[in-house]
Amino acid sequence: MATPEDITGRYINVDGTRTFYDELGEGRPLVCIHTAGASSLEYRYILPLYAEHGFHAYALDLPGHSRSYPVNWRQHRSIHEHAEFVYAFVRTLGLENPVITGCSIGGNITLDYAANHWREMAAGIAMEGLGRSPTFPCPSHAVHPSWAPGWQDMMERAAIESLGRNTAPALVEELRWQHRNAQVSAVGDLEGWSQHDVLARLGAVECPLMVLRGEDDFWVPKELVDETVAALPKGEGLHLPDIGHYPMFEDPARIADITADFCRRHGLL
Amino acid sequence: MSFLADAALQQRFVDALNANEAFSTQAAVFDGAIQIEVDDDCLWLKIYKGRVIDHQTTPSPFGYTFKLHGPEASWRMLLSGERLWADLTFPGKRRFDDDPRLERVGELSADIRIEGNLVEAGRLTEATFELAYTLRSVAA
Repeated sequence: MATPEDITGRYINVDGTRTFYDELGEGRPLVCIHTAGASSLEYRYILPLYAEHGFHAYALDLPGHSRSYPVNWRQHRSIHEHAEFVYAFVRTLGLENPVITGCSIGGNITLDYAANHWREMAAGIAMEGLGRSPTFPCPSHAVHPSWAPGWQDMMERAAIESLGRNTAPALVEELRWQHRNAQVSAVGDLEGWSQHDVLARLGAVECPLMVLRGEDDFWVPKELVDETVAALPKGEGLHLPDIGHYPMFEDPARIADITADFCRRHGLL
Repeated sequence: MSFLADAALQQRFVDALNANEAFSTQAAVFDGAIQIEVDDDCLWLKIYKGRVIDHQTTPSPFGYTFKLHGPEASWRMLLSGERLWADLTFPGKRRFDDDPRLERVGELSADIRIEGNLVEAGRLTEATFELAYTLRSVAA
């Protein structure tokens, strides 16, 4: 059984941008996308579990986060920019028919990716993601520290308060530290979240797509998840009790099992 | 009158804030006032270098740096633990019990509003979270 210490970190040049990713396992490619202002560290506990299920898991740092440089030294400010970068990442690595999964902006990125490239993906699992997500104010006012000196604390509190109510204190602290590497990029991430809307385009997505939500997550309304699932021809919704905004971090075993089961049911594992 | 009108609770709250090391640390570089409004009730807190050095239940002629205000029903959700401070104060419509047709998606309302000098309010984010949860602890 692999452990987080078996994860291998690598660099790759994606259209001129130095990009970092974690990698573990063999089998069906599974590309994992982290949340706003965070990094691939959010997947450190679940990557070995994905590998155990038969996935070749890749968890990248989005441009401008942790060990990935930003594209042209400017943060992305839309979900679509992120999604197209992930698509370029997949093509650069030569991955065929990957499963795409992501959380929060990663969930939105999964849906945007599907809206534009569903023919080149096997399936998607969007965690805490929505077809449209104007549930958080656009934080453009915080792009410069001099404009919003409290932004770091706001970002961290927005993150940790949306964890499952019974999350262990040590995990709360770890998640808080995971959000201390990309304050500038986090503004762009959440600008993207607040303006994201691919709902009208999901009707054309013909690959299987699960939208998963933790019931303790107050950023993601159940009604908008249900709306998203209803828009997808092969959509499946799942609402999990005792889970918040970070399912793969909070309960990696359960999420790995759900992901694997979903893929097996669709003949992908 | 709301729960905030209780003089004994007000004193317990001030004492608890001054005993809260995290609050004192986060407000250590602050010379201002935070006003709490619950319905028509008011508690003005003068804060200097991490300590509440004065408080009163009427608006001060000195004004406030920023205020936290909302209906008692919203504050009671904090006190009961039903909802958390980030959820109550970050704008955005995220509940649709009153809007099953999702016609108000995108509204930027907040159950408890922060008004005044928002630069200072933002800088005091951690202190304000500590203040909110200290209030919850003494009002429980």
